[in-house]
Amino acid sequence: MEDSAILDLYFDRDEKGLLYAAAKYGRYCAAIANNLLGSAEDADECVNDTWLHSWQAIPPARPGKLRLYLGRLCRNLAIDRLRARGAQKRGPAALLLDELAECLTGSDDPEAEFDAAETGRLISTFLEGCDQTSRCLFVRRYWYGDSVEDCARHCGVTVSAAKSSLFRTRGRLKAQLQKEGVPV
Amino acid sequence: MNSEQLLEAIGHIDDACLEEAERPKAKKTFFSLGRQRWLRPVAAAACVLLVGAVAVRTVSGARGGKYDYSSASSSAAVAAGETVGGAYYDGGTYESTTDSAADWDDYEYDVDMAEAPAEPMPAPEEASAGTSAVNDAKGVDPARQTSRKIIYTAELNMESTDYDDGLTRLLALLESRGGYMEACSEGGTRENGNRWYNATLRIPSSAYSGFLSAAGDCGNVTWLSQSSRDVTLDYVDLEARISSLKTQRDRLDELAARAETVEDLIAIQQQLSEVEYRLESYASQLRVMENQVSMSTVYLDYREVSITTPTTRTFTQRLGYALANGWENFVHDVQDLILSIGYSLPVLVLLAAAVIAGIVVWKKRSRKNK
Repeated sequence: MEDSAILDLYFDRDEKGLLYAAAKYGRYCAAIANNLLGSAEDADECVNDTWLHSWQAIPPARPGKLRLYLGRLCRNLAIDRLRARGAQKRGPAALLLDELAECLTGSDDPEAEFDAAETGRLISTFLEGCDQTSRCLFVRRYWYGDSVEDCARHCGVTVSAAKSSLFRTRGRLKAQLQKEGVPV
Repeated sequence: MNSEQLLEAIGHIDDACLEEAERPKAKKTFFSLGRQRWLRPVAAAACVLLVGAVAVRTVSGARGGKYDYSSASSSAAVAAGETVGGAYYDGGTYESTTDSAADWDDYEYDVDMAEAPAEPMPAPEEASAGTSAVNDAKGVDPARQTSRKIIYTAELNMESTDYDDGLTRLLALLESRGGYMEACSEGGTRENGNRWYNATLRIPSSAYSGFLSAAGDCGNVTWLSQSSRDVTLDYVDLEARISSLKTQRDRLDELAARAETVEDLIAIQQQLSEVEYRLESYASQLRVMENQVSMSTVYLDYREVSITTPTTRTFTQRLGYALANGWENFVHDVQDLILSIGYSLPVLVLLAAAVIAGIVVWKKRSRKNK
């Protein structure tokens, strides 16, 4: 079924829209959740929460790309779950967060104002300046939460090349965020 | 900002970036071998083996294997033309001071100076005319030619499909003409059909031309290069020096016989020993020269081939030869490749076992990680 048809069902408050969305994007969302949470059970719950939140958000929202919208929702819910788990039970995301910590200076100021959307825009701008392979690797690794091996296979490079590319991209991102005055 | 917040911020990146990242780049093509990356080292190893085998084949072929004379030298191109000893030439025979190979049968040289009577020193004009007299061999005065001291040298390249028989007959021919083999080396293998025999043959000058003519019956002559060097002046000069020294020696002997004091005798003896030394040196040079004049030298290169170089040069025949030779080379190369793989099979089996073990371990690990 076309995304527009599914959205029409959402707008008509027809629960079939949820069924069609789950059938079409269930595995996609489950993969993202599983990559971040590392648990099939938690991932299922996360995906179910995704349908619930999407049902609440649509309408009034009418996303242009339903797949990415649902993916973002699922990813955010997975991050919320990660936060709720605490530092000890982060699973595969622990490695991801450790890598991202390299982009930070470590001088975390709780009072500093954090604007996720604005930082996301800066990161988008930064990624536009990167080459396609680096951009692809970065997004696969830190948005989708793929393992480095899967990232490398997806982007058509060797694992060692993927690792070194990600390392360089993190270093450049850190410098860029500092340059833009983001409190890292 | 902490890493969780950064992870959250990354969630806000553009849809375009996400869509781009969703498109897989590693397309399964013949060359990339898709997801089966383990095939790459295997394919690379196979390529290395193939290249190595071809390289080995090429090197071994260059050392002692088949060699296409017709392509190696334009002047060696064999084609329809004059016949020398059963083979055909066009410009294949290189002459320096001798006449064409086709005329070798028409006259016989008699330059065996060991048996030649002593002659008075020829006039310079006569000596200089000697070379041209040889060049115009037909109709030359044998008496004049006898006075010439000429060293003949030839390079003879031959090939045969029946290597053993041809070479045996050639060496028998050499012996029957009074020649001998001075040095030789041989190589190649019967299995590969690439045996070769390089030799320095010495043959009486009187039988030189006859030998070259008859050599054509013992194989296919692909190259014949002849040269001659007129050493008459050097020879006569040496003879004159020897004669002069002999005269000096006789005079010194007479003086020594008539010497009245010991001092005179010692001085004469010193001069006499010096003269004797020079006399021996010149005599030695003369003997070497006489040997070179009386015994001509033929540098032989005899090779085993499966297809002889064609003796005509019509396009069809040349094409047929090229195709046949090309096919022959291809078959040899493939055989060598298979043999090379056979030789390295134990190593390949070990390598394959190691690769398979590595793949199994890698797959197990990746499953565990998932």
